[in-house]
Amino acid sequence: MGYYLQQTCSLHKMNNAQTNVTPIAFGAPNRRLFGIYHAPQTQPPVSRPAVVLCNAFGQEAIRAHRFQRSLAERLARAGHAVLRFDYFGTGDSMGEDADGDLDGWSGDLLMAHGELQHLSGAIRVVWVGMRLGATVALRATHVAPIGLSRLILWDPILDGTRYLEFLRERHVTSLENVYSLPLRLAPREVAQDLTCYRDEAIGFAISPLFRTQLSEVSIETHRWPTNPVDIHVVIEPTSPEGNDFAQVQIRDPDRVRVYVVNHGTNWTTDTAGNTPLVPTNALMAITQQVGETA
Amino acid sequence: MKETPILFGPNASLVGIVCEPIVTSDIAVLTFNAGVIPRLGPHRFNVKLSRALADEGVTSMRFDLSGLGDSRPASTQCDFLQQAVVDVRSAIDYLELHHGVRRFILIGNCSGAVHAYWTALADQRVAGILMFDGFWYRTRWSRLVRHWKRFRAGTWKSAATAIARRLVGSWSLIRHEGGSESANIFSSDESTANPPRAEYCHAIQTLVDRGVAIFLIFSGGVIDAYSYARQFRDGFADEPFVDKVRCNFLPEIDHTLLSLRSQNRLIDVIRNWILGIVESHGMPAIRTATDPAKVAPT
Repeated sequence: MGYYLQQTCSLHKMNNAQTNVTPIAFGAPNRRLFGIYHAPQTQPPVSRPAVVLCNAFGQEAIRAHRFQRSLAERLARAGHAVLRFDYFGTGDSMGEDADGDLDGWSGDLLMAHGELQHLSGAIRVVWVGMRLGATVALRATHVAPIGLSRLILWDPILDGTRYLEFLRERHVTSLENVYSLPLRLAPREVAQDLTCYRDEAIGFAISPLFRTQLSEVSIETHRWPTNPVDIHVVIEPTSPEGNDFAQVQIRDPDRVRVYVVNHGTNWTTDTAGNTPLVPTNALMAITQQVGETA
Repeated sequence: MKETPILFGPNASLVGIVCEPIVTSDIAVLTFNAGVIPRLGPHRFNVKLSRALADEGVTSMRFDLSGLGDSRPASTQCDFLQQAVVDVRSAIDYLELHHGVRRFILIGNCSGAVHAYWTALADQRVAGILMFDGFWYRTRWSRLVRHWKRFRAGTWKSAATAIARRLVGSWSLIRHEGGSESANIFSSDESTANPPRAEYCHAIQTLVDRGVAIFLIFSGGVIDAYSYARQFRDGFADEPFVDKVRCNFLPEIDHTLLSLRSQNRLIDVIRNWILGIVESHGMPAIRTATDPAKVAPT
């Protein structure tokens, strides 16, 4: 299928006058990515690090959208240039669901990093990764991109096998809830066959390659980057990843800091539900940690 | 195909993506938010639909209404429903001006169906509307059929639980085994979004008289509201429009398009319907997406 994501928005002509927001397309012709660029809004301009927001996966990315927008607007008002973008095969970017994979997305993040430096003129860049976006960010740091100064990871995924099982469980629960009548084959019973529900999770396709890559993600296999200088982790008190990061912090207390924030986000819910879209304490924690880099 | 991110509307406050095939017809499809879900649609459905339509030579645009997704809040005094109509018409204006399209089909999912309906009434350029789990009107059989289906699908345990809860007056809270009555906004006894029946009939007749193609789809997630295939025909049997409106009950599809199977099934249904409209309008291919110079702005 021929496909092309075209950039026609001249940044000077097409941006939104009041918020300096510009939808953009960037990347290689066969891997065009969609992004939203938030220009810094302080007058006169101040020299602050730019920020790339690394999105979560699947339904979690849909849930994170409003948070990302709020965070980007807040950071732009504080003088940071911000780029939020869709990985290949996600959101408005080229590619189908099943085209997504962790290595490809790490490359997309590096591309976004360079694009943001080009658009903003900033040299220093902070990455904020949410859920699987944090995993992508950790994976991409091994390239040691020029200017990367801090990683901020929100509820990161450190155990891919556990995450796959979590997605599968949520997929089954959601299937049970979205139909008015019970399905002829009860999802929970079907799920006992481990070959079922392996190629999709809460509305998004999962390729065999992506599944394999995810299952190999674990705290042991993570190579902690020598660059950037520090890693800040914002995590729920009940998160299973909390203990993992506590161990990492003990090993490297000068670079790794863990902030326990009880934000109550339900990352996978399919309904409006009684759960925050923009949890204030997580928003404030991340904004503060980006601000420290100024 | 080619996709182009754009800003449009007053003060360039709205964000959208135009998805163009290489050769397209003089008709375009618009998709927008369902509830608070961004323009991608539930589980990226609008993106998948756009690209499937582009493969068939149909241009589309997915965009965020004011205040939703990436679009900025409106600076007008309109309420939400009025503003949504203004926004959809802004999208129509944009495609007409910049892409030479003159006829439009609106695909509305859940709350989006409401916007499709009101915009179609307000704008003569709308040639078709698809309302997925939109307005609903019960017949005398709706509840009976619903109860029968629930009974048939349930277990003795769930039936006993239901009876027990009804006896203690908490019928509205019943959750049957394997499904949920409170899964969506259609669970309540009467939807406040539904126009009065007489007003609805008048509006649908107006649209039919204008030649607007109307397609209603009800999923397996809204059985409280729509419980059997002939409900629309039974409910509006005396109305002249009843044979002019297409209505499908697709119980195998869930309301939020959670499964890939549901997504693919709905894309097939919508694609076939839209291609039927394009054919019936005898619309010629007017331009190529790679050659914008051939676009004839109005």
